[in-house]
Amino acid sequence: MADAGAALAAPPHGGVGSVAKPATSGAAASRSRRITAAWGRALLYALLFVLAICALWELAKVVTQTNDQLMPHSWDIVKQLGEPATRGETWFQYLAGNWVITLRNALVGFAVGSLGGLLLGIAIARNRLVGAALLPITTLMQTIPIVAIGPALVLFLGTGWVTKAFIAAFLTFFPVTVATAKGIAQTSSDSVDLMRVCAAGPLQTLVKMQLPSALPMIFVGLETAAGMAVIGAIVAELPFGTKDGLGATILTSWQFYTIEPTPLYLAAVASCALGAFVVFSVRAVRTLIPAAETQGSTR
Amino acid sequence: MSQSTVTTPPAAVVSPPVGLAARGVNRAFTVKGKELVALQDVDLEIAKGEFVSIIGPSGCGKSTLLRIFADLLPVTSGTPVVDGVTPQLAREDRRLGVVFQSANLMPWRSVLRNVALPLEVMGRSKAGREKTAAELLKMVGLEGYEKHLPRQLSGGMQQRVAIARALSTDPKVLLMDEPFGALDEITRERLNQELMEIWARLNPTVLFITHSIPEAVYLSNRVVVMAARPGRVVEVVDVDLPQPRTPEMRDAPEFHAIEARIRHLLATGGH
Ligand SMILES: Nc1ncnc2c1ncn2[C@@H]1O[C@H](COP(=O)(O)OP(=O)(O)OP(=O)(O)O)[C@@H](O)[C@H]1O
Ligand SMILES: [Mg+2]
Repeated sequence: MADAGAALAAPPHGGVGSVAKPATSGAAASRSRRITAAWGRALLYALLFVLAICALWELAKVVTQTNDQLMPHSWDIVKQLGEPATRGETWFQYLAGNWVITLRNALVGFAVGSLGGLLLGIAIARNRLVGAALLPITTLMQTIPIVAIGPALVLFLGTGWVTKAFIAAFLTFFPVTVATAKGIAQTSSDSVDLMRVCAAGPLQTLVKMQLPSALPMIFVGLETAAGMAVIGAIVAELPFGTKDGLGATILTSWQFYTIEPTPLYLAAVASCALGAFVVFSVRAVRTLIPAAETQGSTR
Repeated sequence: MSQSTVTTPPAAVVSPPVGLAARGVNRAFTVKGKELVALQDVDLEIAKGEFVSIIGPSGCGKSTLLRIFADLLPVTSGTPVVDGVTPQLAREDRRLGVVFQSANLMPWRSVLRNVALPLEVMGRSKAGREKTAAELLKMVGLEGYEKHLPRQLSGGMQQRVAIARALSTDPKVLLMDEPFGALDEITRERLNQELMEIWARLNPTVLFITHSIPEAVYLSNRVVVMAARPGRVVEVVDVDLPQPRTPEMRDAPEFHAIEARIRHLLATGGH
Protein backbone atom coordinates (compact mmCIF):
# COMPACT_ATOMS: atom_id res chain seq x y z
CA MET A 1 0.00 0.00 0.00
CA ALA A 2 1.01 3.63 -0.45
CA ASP A 3 3.21 5.07 2.24
CA ALA A 4 2.77 8.26 4.16
CA GLY A 5 5.44 9.93 2.11
CA ALA A 6 3.13 10.45 -0.86
CA ALA A 7 0.58 12.21 1.31
CA LEU A 8 3.29 14.35 2.82
CA ALA A 9 5.15 15.24 -0.33
CA ALA A 10 4.04 18.86 -0.19
CA PRO A 11 3.29 19.92 3.36
CA PRO A 12 1.04 23.02 3.34
CA HIS A 13 3.06 25.08 5.74
CA GLY A 14 6.42 23.46 6.26
CA GLY A 15 6.61 21.46 9.48
CA VAL A 16 3.89 21.48 12.06
CA GLY A 17 6.24 21.37 14.97
CA SER A 18 8.15 24.15 16.62
CA VAL A 19 11.24 22.55 18.09
CA ALA A 20 14.52 24.43 18.03
CA LYS A 21 17.10 23.15 15.57
CA PRO A 22 19.66 20.84 17.10
CA ALA A 23 23.36 21.44 17.34
CA THR A 24 25.46 19.46 14.87
CA SER A 25 26.67 16.17 16.26
CA GLY A 26 30.07 14.85 15.21
CA ALA A 27 29.27 11.36 16.43
CA ALA A 28 31.32 9.46 13.85
CA ALA A 29 34.48 11.50 14.34
CA SER A 30 34.43 11.32 18.12
CA ARG A 31 33.95 7.55 18.13
CA SER A 32 37.45 6.57 16.99
CA ARG A 33 38.88 9.15 19.38
CA ARG A 34 36.82 7.65 22.19
CA ILE A 35 38.04 4.12 21.42
CA THR A 36 41.69 5.19 21.25
CA ALA A 37 41.28 6.99 24.56
CA ALA A 38 39.65 3.94 26.12
CA TRP A 39 42.53 1.67 25.08
CA GLY A 40 45.07 4.24 26.24
CA ARG A 41 43.37 4.42 29.61
CA ALA A 42 43.21 0.61 29.87
CA LEU A 43 46.96 0.33 29.17
CA LEU A 44 47.77 3.06 31.66
CA TYR A 45 45.64 1.40 34.33
CA ALA A 46 47.29 -1.96 33.57
CA LEU A 47 50.74 -0.41 33.98
CA LEU A 48 49.77 1.31 37.24
CA PHE A 49 48.21 -1.94 38.43
CA VAL A 50 51.40 -3.91 37.73
CA LEU A 51 53.52 -1.29 39.47
CA ALA A 52 51.19 -1.32 42.47
CA ILE A 53 51.34 -5.12 42.67
CA CYS A 54 55.16 -5.03 42.50
CA ALA A 55 55.26 -2.44 45.28
CA LEU A 56 52.93 -4.51 47.45
CA TRP A 57 55.01 -7.59 46.68
CA GLU A 58 58.22 -5.94 47.80
CA LEU A 59 56.49 -4.50 50.86
CA ALA A 60 55.15 -7.92 51.84
CA LYS A 61 58.60 -9.39 51.31
CA VAL A 62 60.20 -6.84 53.62
CA VAL A 63 57.50 -7.05 56.27
CA THR A 64 57.46 -10.85 56.43
CA GLN A 65 61.21 -11.14 55.79
CA THR A 66 60.63 -13.91 53.25
CA ASN A 67 63.74 -15.18 51.54
CA ASP A 68 64.46 -14.85 47.81
CA GLN A 69 63.76 -18.53 47.27
CA LEU A 70 60.08 -18.26 48.25
CA MET A 71 59.59 -14.69 47.13
CA PRO A 72 62.04 -13.50 44.53
CA HIS A 73 62.35 -9.77 43.94
CA SER A 74 59.97 -8.41 41.35
CA TRP A 75 62.85 -7.06 39.28
CA ASP A 76 64.44 -10.53 39.26
CA ILE A 77 61.19 -11.91 37.85
CA VAL A 78 61.28 -9.26 35.11
CA LYS A 79 64.96 -9.97 34.46
CA GLN A 80 64.15 -13.64 33.94
CA LEU A 81 62.46 -12.62 30.68
CA GLY A 82 65.89 -12.11 29.09
CA GLU A 83 67.38 -15.34 30.39
CA PRO A 84 67.69 -18.34 28.05
CA ALA A 85 64.91 -20.91 28.31
CA THR A 86 64.96 -23.83 25.83
CA ARG A 87 66.13 -24.37 22.25
CA GLY A 88 68.03 -21.09 22.26
CA GLU A 89 64.92 -19.06 23.11
CA THR A 90 64.79 -16.43 25.83
CA TRP A 91 62.09 -16.79 28.44
CA PHE A 92 60.24 -13.94 26.80
CA GLN A 93 60.12 -15.75 23.43
CA TYR A 94 59.27 -19.05 25.06
CA LEU A 95 56.42 -17.55 27.08
CA ALA A 96 55.12 -15.54 24.15
CA GLY A 97 54.94 -18.67 21.99
CA ASN A 98 53.01 -20.58 24.62
CA TRP A 99 50.87 -17.55 25.33
CA VAL A 100 49.73 -17.48 21.71
CA ILE A 101 48.99 -21.21 21.73
CA THR A 102 46.80 -20.95 24.81
CA LEU A 103 45.20 -17.79 23.44
CA ARG A 104 44.24 -19.65 20.27
CA ASN A 105 42.72 -22.55 22.22
CA ALA A 106 40.82 -20.17 24.47
CA LEU A 107 39.55 -18.06 21.58
CA VAL A 108 38.41 -21.00 19.47
CA GLY A 109 36.62 -22.47 22.49
CA PHE A 110 35.18 -19.10 23.40
CA ALA A 111 33.83 -18.54 19.90
CA VAL A 112 32.30 -21.99 19.60
CA GLY A 113 30.90 -21.95 23.15
CA SER A 114 29.46 -18.44 22.72
CA LEU A 115 27.75 -19.37 19.49
CA GLY A 116 26.28 -22.49 21.07
CA GLY A 117 25.23 -20.58 24.17
CA LEU A 118 23.62 -17.88 22.06
CA LEU A 119 21.63 -20.42 20.08
CA LEU A 120 20.52 -22.41 23.11
CA GLY A 121 19.69 -19.19 24.99
CA ILE A 122 17.48 -18.07 22.11
CA ALA A 123 15.77 -21.46 22.00
CA ILE A 124 15.15 -21.40 25.75
CA ALA A 125 13.78 -17.84 25.68
CA ARG A 126 11.51 -18.36 22.72
CA ASN A 127 10.05 -21.70 23.60
CA ARG A 128 8.79 -22.42 27.07
CA LEU A 129 8.90 -26.17 26.50
CA VAL A 130 12.50 -26.11 25.34
CA GLY A 131 13.34 -23.91 28.31
CA ALA A 132 11.65 -26.21 30.80
CA ALA A 133 13.41 -29.23 29.30
CA LEU A 134 16.89 -27.80 28.81
CA LEU A 135 17.46 -25.30 31.63
CA PRO A 136 17.73 -27.94 34.43
CA ILE A 137 20.03 -30.07 32.27
CA THR A 138 22.13 -27.03 31.46
CA THR A 139 22.42 -26.10 35.11
CA LEU A 140 23.34 -29.66 36.07
CA MET A 141 25.97 -29.92 33.37
CA GLN A 142 27.54 -26.76 34.70
CA THR A 143 28.47 -28.58 37.89
CA ILE A 144 30.42 -31.34 36.12
CA PRO A 145 34.06 -31.00 37.20
CA ILE A 146 36.29 -30.78 34.15
CA VAL A 147 38.85 -33.11 35.77
CA ALA A 148 36.19 -35.82 36.01
CA ILE A 149 35.39 -35.84 32.32
CA GLY A 150 38.97 -35.18 31.24
CA PRO A 151 39.90 -38.83 30.56
CA ALA A 152 36.73 -39.32 28.53
CA LEU A 153 37.49 -36.20 26.53
CA VAL A 154 41.01 -37.42 25.79
CA LEU A 155 39.55 -40.71 24.60
CA PHE A 156 37.16 -39.01 22.21
CA LEU A 157 39.11 -35.95 21.13
CA GLY A 158 42.73 -36.93 21.69
CA THR A 159 45.37 -34.90 23.53
CA GLY A 160 45.61 -32.18 20.89
CA TRP A 161 44.41 -28.62 21.00
CA VAL A 162 40.82 -29.63 20.12
CA THR A 163 40.41 -31.08 23.61
CA LYS A 164 41.60 -27.83 25.17
CA ALA A 165 39.37 -25.70 22.98
CA PHE A 166 36.49 -28.00 23.81
CA ILE A 167 36.97 -27.45 27.54
CA ALA A 168 37.12 -23.69 27.00
CA ALA A 169 33.93 -23.94 24.95
CA PHE A 170 32.27 -26.05 27.62
CA LEU A 171 32.94 -23.41 30.28
CA THR A 172 31.92 -20.55 27.97
CA PHE A 173 28.65 -22.17 27.04
CA PHE A 174 26.72 -21.82 30.31
CA PRO A 175 27.14 -18.15 31.23
CA VAL A 176 26.30 -17.18 27.65
CA THR A 177 23.25 -19.44 27.53
CA VAL A 178 21.85 -18.07 30.78
CA ALA A 179 22.61 -14.44 29.90
CA THR A 180 21.00 -14.76 26.47
CA ALA A 181 17.87 -16.46 27.76
CA LYS A 182 17.51 -13.91 30.56
CA GLY A 183 18.24 -10.94 28.31
CA ILE A 184 15.60 -11.95 25.78
CA ALA A 185 13.05 -12.78 28.48
CA GLN A 186 13.53 -9.29 29.92
CA THR A 187 12.61 -7.36 26.76
CA SER A 188 9.67 -5.10 27.54
CA SER A 189 6.19 -6.24 26.60
CA ASP A 190 5.63 -2.84 24.95
CA SER A 191 8.43 -3.64 22.51
CA VAL A 192 6.93 -7.04 21.80
CA ASP A 193 3.57 -5.32 21.14
CA LEU A 194 5.25 -2.81 18.87
CA MET A 195 6.79 -5.53 16.71
CA ARG A 196 3.44 -7.30 16.56
CA VAL A 197 1.66 -4.13 15.43
CA CYS A 198 4.34 -3.82 12.73
CA ALA A 199 3.32 -7.34 11.66
CA ALA A 200 6.90 -8.54 12.17
CA GLY A 201 7.62 -12.25 11.89
CA PRO A 202 9.36 -14.21 14.67
CA LEU A 203 12.77 -13.90 13.03
CA GLN A 204 12.40 -10.14 12.48
CA THR A 205 11.28 -9.70 16.07
CA LEU A 206 14.33 -11.63 17.24
CA VAL A 207 16.88 -9.87 15.05
CA LYS A 208 15.54 -6.32 15.13
CA MET A 209 14.30 -6.14 18.70
CA GLN A 210 14.95 -9.02 21.11
CA LEU A 211 18.63 -9.70 20.42
CA PRO A 212 19.66 -6.02 20.34
CA SER A 213 17.85 -5.28 23.59
CA ALA A 214 19.37 -8.39 25.17
CA LEU A 215 22.90 -7.40 24.11
CA PRO A 216 23.92 -5.53 27.30
CA MET A 217 22.98 -8.66 29.28
CA ILE A 218 24.60 -10.99 26.74
CA PHE A 219 27.85 -9.05 27.04
CA VAL A 220 27.82 -9.50 30.81
CA GLY A 221 27.67 -13.23 30.08
CA LEU A 222 30.39 -12.97 27.43
CA GLU A 223 32.76 -11.16 29.78
CA THR A 224 32.27 -13.80 32.47
CA ALA A 225 32.69 -16.50 29.86
CA ALA A 226 35.89 -14.91 28.50
CA GLY A 227 37.58 -15.37 31.88
CA MET A 228 36.26 -18.92 32.14
CA ALA A 229 37.49 -19.77 28.64
CA VAL A 230 41.03 -18.70 29.54
CA ILE A 231 40.99 -20.61 32.81
CA GLY A 232 39.56 -23.62 30.98
CA ALA A 233 42.25 -23.48 28.30
CA ILE A 234 45.05 -23.27 30.89
CA VAL A 235 43.64 -25.96 33.17
CA ALA A 236 43.13 -28.21 30.14
CA GLU A 237 46.88 -28.10 29.52
CA LEU A 238 47.71 -29.34 33.03
CA PRO A 239 46.66 -32.98 33.26
CA PHE A 240 47.01 -34.29 29.76
CA GLY A 241 50.76 -34.50 29.36
CA THR A 242 51.10 -31.64 26.92
CA LYS A 243 54.25 -29.77 26.08
CA ASP A 244 52.59 -26.66 24.67
CA GLY A 245 50.70 -23.78 26.24
CA LEU A 246 50.84 -21.74 29.42
CA GLY A 247 49.44 -24.61 31.48
CA ALA A 248 52.37 -26.79 30.47
CA THR A 249 54.76 -23.90 31.17
CA ILE A 250 53.31 -23.53 34.67
CA LEU A 251 53.72 -27.27 35.25
CA THR A 252 57.38 -27.38 34.15
CA SER A 253 58.29 -24.20 36.00
CA TRP A 254 56.71 -25.65 39.09
CA GLN A 255 58.84 -28.81 38.85
CA PHE A 256 61.98 -26.64 38.73
CA TYR A 257 60.77 -24.23 41.39
CA THR A 258 63.34 -25.19 44.00
CA ILE A 259 66.16 -24.63 41.52
CA GLU A 260 64.78 -21.48 39.95
CA PRO A 261 61.61 -19.85 41.35
CA THR A 262 61.23 -16.91 38.98
CA PRO A 263 59.86 -18.79 35.88
CA LEU A 264 56.78 -19.95 37.79
CA TYR A 265 55.97 -16.37 38.71
CA LEU A 266 56.52 -15.31 35.12
CA ALA A 267 54.14 -18.01 33.93
CA ALA A 268 51.53 -16.90 36.47
CA VAL A 269 51.83 -13.29 35.33
CA ALA A 270 51.53 -14.37 31.71
CA SER A 271 48.33 -16.27 32.55
CA CYS A 272 46.87 -13.18 34.21
CA ALA A 273 47.82 -11.10 31.20
CA LEU A 274 46.07 -13.59 28.93
CA GLY A 275 42.85 -13.42 30.94
CA ALA A 276 42.96 -9.63 31.02
CA PHE A 277 43.64 -9.47 27.30
CA VAL A 278 40.67 -11.66 26.36
CA VAL A 279 38.25 -9.93 28.76
CA PHE A 280 39.30 -6.47 27.60
CA SER A 281 38.96 -7.54 23.99
CA VAL A 282 35.36 -8.54 24.67
CA ARG A 283 34.79 -5.13 26.25
CA ALA A 284 36.37 -3.44 23.25
CA VAL A 285 34.01 -5.28 20.92
CA ARG A 286 31.12 -4.18 23.13
CA THR A 287 32.01 -0.52 22.74
CA LEU A 288 31.76 -0.95 18.97
CA ILE A 289 28.14 -2.15 19.10
CA PRO A 290 25.68 0.66 19.89
CA ALA A 291 22.92 -1.69 21.09
CA ALA A 292 25.29 -3.33 23.59
CA GLU A 293 26.19 0.04 25.07
CA THR A 294 22.72 1.54 25.48
CA GLN A 295 21.01 0.36 28.61
CA GLY A 296 17.25 -0.07 28.95
CA SER A 297 14.46 1.52 26.97
CA THR A 298 13.35 5.11 26.69
CA ARG A 299 10.59 6.83 28.59
CA MET B 1 -19.87 -12.83 32.37
CA SER B 2 -23.48 -13.74 31.65
CA GLN B 3 -23.29 -12.75 27.98
CA SER B 4 -20.13 -14.68 27.37
CA THR B 5 -21.86 -17.25 25.16
CA VAL B 6 -23.51 -14.83 22.69
CA THR B 7 -23.07 -16.22 19.19
CA THR B 8 -20.27 -14.50 17.37
CA PRO B 9 -21.12 -13.49 13.80
CA PRO B 10 -18.50 -14.51 11.23
CA ALA B 11 -15.61 -12.06 11.05
CA ALA B 12 -17.12 -10.61 7.93
CA VAL B 13 -16.33 -7.53 5.91
CA VAL B 14 -18.73 -4.86 7.13
CA SER B 15 -20.00 -1.72 5.40
CA PRO B 16 -17.04 0.38 4.19
CA PRO B 17 -17.35 3.61 6.23
CA VAL B 18 -16.60 1.86 9.52
CA GLY B 19 -13.36 3.14 10.99
CA LEU B 20 -13.63 1.29 14.28
CA ALA B 21 -16.49 -0.62 15.81
CA ALA B 22 -17.16 -2.75 18.83
CA ARG B 23 -20.31 -4.83 18.73
CA GLY B 24 -21.29 -6.47 21.98
CA VAL B 25 -17.65 -6.80 22.98
CA ASN B 26 -16.94 -8.56 26.25
CA ARG B 27 -13.59 -9.31 27.77
CA ALA B 28 -12.95 -11.08 31.04
CA PHE B 29 -9.70 -11.95 32.78
CA THR B 30 -9.25 -14.73 35.25
CA VAL B 31 -7.11 -13.50 38.10
CA LYS B 32 -6.33 -16.03 40.84
CA GLY B 33 -9.37 -18.11 39.97
CA LYS B 34 -11.69 -15.12 40.09
CA GLU B 35 -13.28 -13.72 36.98
CA LEU B 36 -12.72 -10.02 36.36
CA VAL B 37 -14.92 -8.33 33.78
CA ALA B 38 -12.71 -5.77 32.06
CA LEU B 39 -15.25 -4.93 29.34
CA GLN B 40 -18.98 -5.61 29.43
CA ASP B 41 -21.23 -5.26 26.36
CA VAL B 42 -19.28 -2.49 24.72
CA ASP B 43 -21.02 -1.11 21.63
CA LEU B 44 -19.27 1.59 19.68
CA GLU B 45 -19.38 2.80 16.08
CA ILE B 46 -16.69 5.14 14.87
CA ALA B 47 -16.85 6.39 11.28
CA LYS B 48 -13.81 6.54 9.03
CA GLY B 49 -11.81 9.67 9.63
CA GLU B 50 -13.45 10.41 12.96
CA PHE B 51 -11.45 11.44 16.05
CA VAL B 52 -12.87 9.79 19.17
CA SER B 53 -11.46 9.94 22.69
CA ILE B 54 -12.04 7.55 25.56
CA ILE B 55 -12.01 8.82 29.11
CA GLY B 56 -12.72 6.92 32.28
CA PRO B 57 -11.34 5.96 35.68
CA SER B 58 -8.29 3.77 36.02
CA GLY B 59 -9.08 0.12 35.40
CA CYS B 60 -12.26 0.70 33.40
CA GLY B 61 -10.87 -1.19 30.41
CA LYS B 62 -9.68 1.60 28.11
CA SER B 63 -6.37 -0.04 27.34
CA THR B 64 -8.07 -3.42 27.07
CA LEU B 65 -10.39 -2.07 24.36
CA LEU B 66 -7.48 -0.46 22.52
CA ARG B 67 -5.46 -3.68 22.70
CA ILE B 68 -8.43 -5.58 21.26
CA PHE B 69 -8.53 -3.18 18.30
CA ALA B 70 -4.76 -3.51 17.90
CA ASP B 71 -5.08 -7.31 17.77
CA LEU B 72 -2.91 -7.60 20.85
CA LEU B 73 -5.70 -9.23 22.86
CA PRO B 74 -8.64 -11.43 21.80
CA VAL B 75 -12.22 -10.75 22.89
CA THR B 76 -14.14 -13.14 25.12
CA SER B 77 -17.16 -12.52 22.94
CA GLY B 78 -18.44 -9.93 20.49
CA THR B 79 -17.09 -8.44 17.27
CA PRO B 80 -14.41 -5.81 16.97
CA VAL B 81 -14.08 -4.15 13.55
CA VAL B 82 -11.07 -2.16 12.37
CA ASP B 83 -11.23 -0.29 9.07
CA GLY B 84 -14.04 -2.58 7.93
CA VAL B 85 -12.20 -5.84 8.70
CA THR B 86 -11.10 -7.88 11.70
CA PRO B 87 -8.31 -6.50 13.90
CA GLN B 88 -6.05 -9.32 12.75
CA LEU B 89 -6.51 -8.53 9.08
CA ALA B 90 -6.08 -4.84 9.70
CA ARG B 91 -2.86 -5.45 11.62
CA GLU B 92 -1.43 -7.87 9.09
CA ASP B 93 -2.34 -5.42 6.32
CA ARG B 94 -0.51 -2.69 8.29
CA ARG B 95 -3.52 -0.41 8.45
CA LEU B 96 -2.87 0.21 12.15
CA GLY B 97 -0.63 2.68 13.91
CA VAL B 98 -0.29 2.46 17.69
CA VAL B 99 1.21 4.99 20.11
CA PHE B 100 1.67 3.94 23.72
CA GLN B 101 2.16 6.02 26.84
CA SER B 102 5.88 5.35 26.77
CA ALA B 103 7.52 6.34 23.50
CA ASN B 104 9.08 2.87 23.51
CA LEU B 105 11.87 3.79 21.11
CA MET B 106 14.79 1.46 20.53
CA PRO B 107 17.61 3.22 22.36
CA TRP B 108 20.32 1.97 19.99
CA ARG B 109 18.57 3.19 16.85
CA SER B 110 18.83 6.73 15.60
CA VAL B 111 15.64 8.79 15.53
CA LEU B 112 15.40 8.28 11.77
CA ARG B 113 15.84 4.52 12.01
CA ASN B 114 13.27 4.32 14.80
CA VAL B 115 10.70 6.03 12.59
CA ALA B 116 11.65 3.78 9.68
CA LEU B 117 11.34 0.55 11.72
CA PRO B 118 7.80 -0.42 10.55
CA LEU B 119 8.83 0.19 6.92
CA GLU B 120 12.00 -1.84 7.47
CA VAL B 121 9.88 -4.72 8.78
CA MET B 122 7.66 -4.31 5.70
CA GLY B 123 10.71 -4.75 3.49
CA ARG B 124 10.76 -1.27 2.01
CA SER B 125 14.07 -0.23 0.42
CA LYS B 126 16.49 1.71 2.59
CA ALA B 127 16.32 4.83 0.46
CA GLY B 128 12.52 4.74 0.30
CA ARG B 129 11.97 4.26 4.00
CA GLU B 130 14.50 6.87 5.02
CA LYS B 131 12.87 9.40 2.70
CA THR B 132 9.45 8.71 4.25
CA ALA B 133 10.88 8.81 7.77
CA ALA B 134 12.62 12.13 7.13
CA GLU B 135 9.39 13.64 5.80
CA LEU B 136 7.48 12.42 8.86
CA LEU B 137 10.11 13.83 11.19
CA LYS B 138 9.75 17.15 9.43
CA MET B 139 6.02 16.98 9.96
CA VAL B 140 6.34 16.40 13.70
CA GLY B 141 8.84 19.24 13.94
CA LEU B 142 11.99 17.18 14.42
CA GLU B 143 13.84 18.07 11.24
CA GLY B 144 17.57 18.01 11.97
CA TYR B 145 17.29 15.37 14.70
CA GLU B 146 17.47 12.38 12.32
CA LYS B 147 20.89 11.20 13.53
CA HIS B 148 20.22 11.72 17.23
CA LEU B 149 19.71 8.88 19.66
CA PRO B 150 16.42 8.77 21.60
CA ARG B 151 18.09 9.50 24.93
CA GLN B 152 19.30 12.81 23.54
CA LEU B 153 15.68 13.96 23.17
CA SER B 154 13.18 15.27 25.73
CA GLY B 155 10.08 13.27 26.62
CA GLY B 156 7.90 15.36 24.34
CA MET B 157 10.30 14.95 21.45
CA GLN B 158 10.46 11.20 22.02
CA GLN B 159 6.68 11.02 21.87
CA ARG B 160 6.79 12.95 18.58
CA VAL B 161 9.15 10.30 17.23
CA ALA B 162 6.72 7.59 18.36
CA ILE B 163 3.88 9.37 16.53
CA ALA B 164 5.99 9.69 13.38
CA ARG B 165 6.79 5.97 13.61
CA ALA B 166 3.10 5.09 13.99
CA LEU B 167 2.33 7.17 10.90
CA SER B 168 5.09 5.65 8.77
CA THR B 169 2.93 2.95 7.17
CA ASP B 170 0.22 5.51 6.37
CA PRO B 171 -2.26 3.80 8.71
CA LYS B 172 -6.00 4.12 8.24
CA VAL B 173 -6.49 3.81 11.99
CA LEU B 174 -4.39 5.42 14.71
CA LEU B 175 -4.72 4.00 18.23
CA MET B 176 -3.24 6.16 20.99
CA ASP B 177 -3.09 5.04 24.63
CA GLU B 178 -2.44 8.08 26.83
CA PRO B 179 0.31 9.27 24.48
CA PHE B 180 0.79 12.57 26.29
CA GLY B 181 0.07 11.29 29.80
CA ALA B 182 3.66 11.67 31.00
CA LEU B 183 4.15 15.18 29.60
CA ASP B 184 3.82 18.57 31.25
CA GLU B 185 0.78 20.72 30.52
CA ILE B 186 2.50 23.12 28.10
CA THR B 187 4.12 20.37 26.03
CA ARG B 188 0.85 18.47 26.06
CA GLU B 189 -1.13 21.41 24.65
CA ARG B 190 1.49 21.99 21.99
CA LEU B 191 1.37 18.32 20.97
CA ASN B 192 -2.46 18.46 20.98
CA GLN B 193 -2.23 21.23 18.42
CA GLU B 194 0.26 19.30 16.31
CA LEU B 195 -1.85 16.15 16.47
CA MET B 196 -4.88 18.13 15.29
CA GLU B 197 -2.95 19.40 12.29
CA ILE B 198 -1.62 15.94 11.46
CA TRP B 199 -5.14 14.53 11.71
CA ALA B 200 -6.53 17.28 9.47
CA ARG B 201 -3.87 16.53 6.88
CA LEU B 202 -3.85 12.71 6.84
CA ASN B 203 -7.36 12.15 8.21
CA PRO B 204 -6.97 8.72 9.81
CA THR B 205 -9.59 7.32 12.18
CA VAL B 206 -8.23 8.07 15.65
CA LEU B 207 -9.02 6.40 18.96
CA PHE B 208 -7.38 8.45 21.68
CA ILE B 209 -7.25 7.42 25.35
CA THR B 210 -6.71 10.14 27.92
CA HIS B 211 -7.29 11.08 31.54
CA SER B 212 -7.52 14.78 30.69
CA ILE B 213 -11.01 16.16 30.10
CA PRO B 214 -9.87 19.33 28.27
CA GLU B 215 -7.61 17.26 26.04
CA ALA B 216 -10.47 14.91 25.14
CA VAL B 217 -12.84 17.80 24.40
CA TYR B 218 -10.30 19.79 22.45
CA LEU B 219 -9.27 16.97 20.14
CA SER B 220 -12.39 14.94 19.55
CA ASN B 221 -15.54 14.74 17.49
CA ARG B 222 -16.95 12.57 20.25
CA VAL B 223 -15.86 11.51 23.73
CA VAL B 224 -16.62 8.03 25.05
CA VAL B 225 -17.09 8.10 28.82
CA MET B 226 -16.49 4.79 30.57
CA ALA B 227 -17.00 3.46 34.09
CA ALA B 228 -15.24 0.65 35.96
CA ARG B 229 -16.28 -2.62 37.65
CA PRO B 230 -17.46 -3.83 35.24
CA GLY B 231 -15.81 -1.80 32.49
CA ARG B 232 -18.56 -0.32 30.32
CA VAL B 233 -19.51 2.67 28.19
CA VAL B 234 -21.55 5.18 30.16
CA GLU B 235 -22.28 7.66 27.42
CA VAL B 236 -20.85 9.01 24.19
CA VAL B 237 -20.71 12.82 24.29
CA ASP B 238 -20.79 14.78 21.04
CA VAL B 239 -18.39 17.69 20.87
CA ASP B 240 -20.18 20.30 18.77
CA LEU B 241 -17.29 22.66 18.31
CA PRO B 242 -16.24 23.88 14.86
CA GLN B 243 -13.24 22.39 13.05
CA PRO B 244 -10.41 23.16 12.96
CA ARG B 245 -10.00 23.66 16.66
CA THR B 246 -8.02 26.69 17.80
CA PRO B 247 -6.44 27.32 21.22
CA GLU B 248 -8.93 30.14 21.99
CA MET B 249 -11.75 27.60 21.96
CA ARG B 250 -10.44 26.23 25.25
CA ASP B 251 -11.87 29.36 26.88
CA ALA B 252 -15.27 29.29 25.15
CA PRO B 253 -18.41 28.67 27.26
CA GLU B 254 -19.45 25.76 24.99
CA PHE B 255 -16.11 24.13 25.68
CA HIS B 256 -16.62 24.45 29.43
CA ALA B 257 -20.17 23.14 29.17
CA ILE B 258 -18.97 19.95 27.49
CA GLU B 259 -16.19 19.61 30.04
CA ALA B 260 -18.73 19.95 32.85
CA ARG B 261 -20.95 17.32 31.27
CA ILE B 262 -18.09 14.83 31.04
CA ARG B 263 -16.95 15.59 34.56
CA HIS B 264 -20.46 14.94 35.80
CA LEU B 265 -20.66 11.63 33.94
CA LEU B 266 -17.30 10.55 35.33
CA ALA B 267 -18.30 11.46 38.88
CA THR B 268 -21.66 9.71 38.82
CA GLY B 269 -20.89 6.84 36.48
CA GLY B 270 -24.03 7.76 34.49
CA HIS B 271 -26.50 7.50 37.34
N1 LIG C 1 -3.47 -9.19 31.16
C1 LIG C 1 -4.34 -8.99 32.18
N2 LIG C 1 -4.52 -9.95 33.10
C2 LIG C 1 -5.40 -9.77 34.10
N3 LIG C 1 -6.13 -8.65 34.28
C3 LIG C 1 -5.97 -7.65 33.42
C4 LIG C 1 -5.06 -7.77 32.31
N4 LIG C 1 -5.09 -6.62 31.60
C5 LIG C 1 -5.99 -5.83 32.23
N5 LIG C 1 -6.50 -6.44 33.32
C6 LIG C 1 -7.51 -5.88 34.22
O1 LIG C 1 -8.55 -5.37 33.44
C7 LIG C 1 -9.00 -4.16 33.97
C8 LIG C 1 -8.94 -3.08 32.91
O2 LIG C 1 -7.57 -2.82 32.63
P1 LIG C 1 -7.10 -1.70 31.61
O3 LIG C 1 -5.64 -1.75 31.54
O4 LIG C 1 -7.85 -1.86 30.34
O5 LIG C 1 -7.59 -0.38 32.35
P2 LIG C 1 -7.41 1.13 31.90
O6 LIG C 1 -8.78 1.71 31.76
O7 LIG C 1 -6.53 1.22 30.73
O8 LIG C 1 -6.71 1.76 33.16
P3 LIG C 1 -5.62 2.92 33.23
O9 LIG C 1 -6.35 4.21 33.08
O10 LIG C 1 -5.04 2.78 34.59
O11 LIG C 1 -4.63 2.69 32.13
C9 LIG C 1 -8.17 -3.84 35.18
O12 LIG C 1 -8.89 -4.21 36.34
C10 LIG C 1 -6.96 -4.72 35.01
O13 LIG C 1 -6.48 -5.13 36.26
MG1 LIG D 1 -4.53 1.96 30.35
